[in-house]
Amino acid sequence: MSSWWRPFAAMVWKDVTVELRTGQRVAAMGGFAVLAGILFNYALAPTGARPQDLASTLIWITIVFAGTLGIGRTFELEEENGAFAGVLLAPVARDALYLAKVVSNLLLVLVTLVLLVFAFTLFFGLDLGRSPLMFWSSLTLGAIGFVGTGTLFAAVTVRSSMGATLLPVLLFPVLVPVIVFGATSTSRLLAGLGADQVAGPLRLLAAYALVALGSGAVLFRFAVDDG
Amino acid sequence: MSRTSGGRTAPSVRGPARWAVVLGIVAGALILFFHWMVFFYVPTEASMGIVQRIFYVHVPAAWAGEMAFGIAAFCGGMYLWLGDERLDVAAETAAEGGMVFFTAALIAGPLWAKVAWGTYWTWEPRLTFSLLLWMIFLGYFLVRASIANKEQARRLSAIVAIVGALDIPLIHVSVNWLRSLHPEPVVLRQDGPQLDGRMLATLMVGLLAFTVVFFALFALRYGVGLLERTRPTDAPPEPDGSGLMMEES
Amino acid sequence: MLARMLAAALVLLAAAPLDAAQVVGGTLRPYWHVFIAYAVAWLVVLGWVVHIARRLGRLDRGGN
Repeated sequence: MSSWWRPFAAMVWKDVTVELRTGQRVAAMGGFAVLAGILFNYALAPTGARPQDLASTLIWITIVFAGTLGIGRTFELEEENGAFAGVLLAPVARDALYLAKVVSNLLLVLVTLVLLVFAFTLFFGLDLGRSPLMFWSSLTLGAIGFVGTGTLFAAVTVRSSMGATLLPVLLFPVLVPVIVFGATSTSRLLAGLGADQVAGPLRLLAAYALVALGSGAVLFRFAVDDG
Repeated sequence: MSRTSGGRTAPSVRGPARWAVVLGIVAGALILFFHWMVFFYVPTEASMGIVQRIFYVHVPAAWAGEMAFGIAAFCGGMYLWLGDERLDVAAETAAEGGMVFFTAALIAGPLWAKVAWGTYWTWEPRLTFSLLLWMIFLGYFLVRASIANKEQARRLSAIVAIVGALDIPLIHVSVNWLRSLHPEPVVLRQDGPQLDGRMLATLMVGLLAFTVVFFALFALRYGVGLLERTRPTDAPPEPDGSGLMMEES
Repeated sequence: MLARMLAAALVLLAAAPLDAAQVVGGTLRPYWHVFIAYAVAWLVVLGWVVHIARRLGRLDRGGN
């Protein structure tokens, strides 16, 4: 068991440490999210639509775009230095590697989400509704599904000569359920509806997250191992 | 694990070739019969008129496309599991066919929608679903084309197909979910209960015709794919990592 | 295949006047939509056939 957990923890620890030292991806994704809020404000101003009515839309679109930006770089640092080849030589369970990358990506996306919601609350006077807990569960469940698929596809696109530009093309079609159920649940919560009104979409978000993590854990080995 | 075995020779192509010929003949006959039914036999639908006849090409094409994508994902998964290169040929072949038939369905659908509902595009669940599947397999071919190491390209594209297939139930639920939020107008009536027996017969012949056309071309393309993989082994190995190599061209 | 499409076109043109009375507004637009839908569907399939034939041709030239 420890042969599974130790490399897993080491990978997560390494990614978190790198991120804490450089802060590159947090800065890029957080900056993207806050700046998107500013641009949305000016793009919405002439239309007369109130940003708080579209808050749920804006949150999900921004997090998917910002997240894709960050997730696309999951394996780039390792690939540049050839370090991932070294990791792969070690007899480490591939699903442990995958889930470690998922955890570090998830932490990044959650930090970005906190920044994003904070910025939107500040800019647009967002009211998190009656149950902030449900609001955050919706965002977190959506983020797990998103990161689960995104991390697997990042391992695909890192080998491609198109690089991270290919990632949205692969990722967005299969993210439709996340957007539909995520935007449904958050918009209902922001409109002041109770937790019982979002049980259905939240359950479907959880189902998507399970499918994403399960398929990623099984398929990751085929993405990184040769032959 | 799954290197091209140079020893594989022509006889393995004889099966697909025979199937291509037999199915091709049946397909040709079925296509003629199908068009006779569409343009002479089937009665004109009362509320929508002539344009309803697009239905008989749209639905079978979409059906053939869905079946093809299913085969592509299944063969992709079996390729990852067993490593037999023929399975990758089958997956690639089916994915190509899926793109072809979905392209046809996606062009026919909006043409029908324009006359029936007054707009080329509506977020009708099945139309949206077809477009999403088409996009997933666009990604499949971009992965195959943009990875220089072909062995890698085959495995990674199989991953894309499998993930796409696994998400299909949830995508299906989600696009239908949207419809329950925005009730669509007269959508699903013409293929519902009031389908006349002759219309049903025409639709069934259409489904059969497109299925046979797909399998005839599948056999042909699969045979060609097998030949492509077996012949070039006599040539010196192709250089790896030489940038973008379009496998398809 | 081409002949088949031409036949389909002829059939369409021949069948059109018969059913015109039943069509709302009586314009010819719906016929064109039907025609284009079937033509495009078979053209796309024909495109795949051509694609396969070209691959086969390349094999013949390169193989022997």
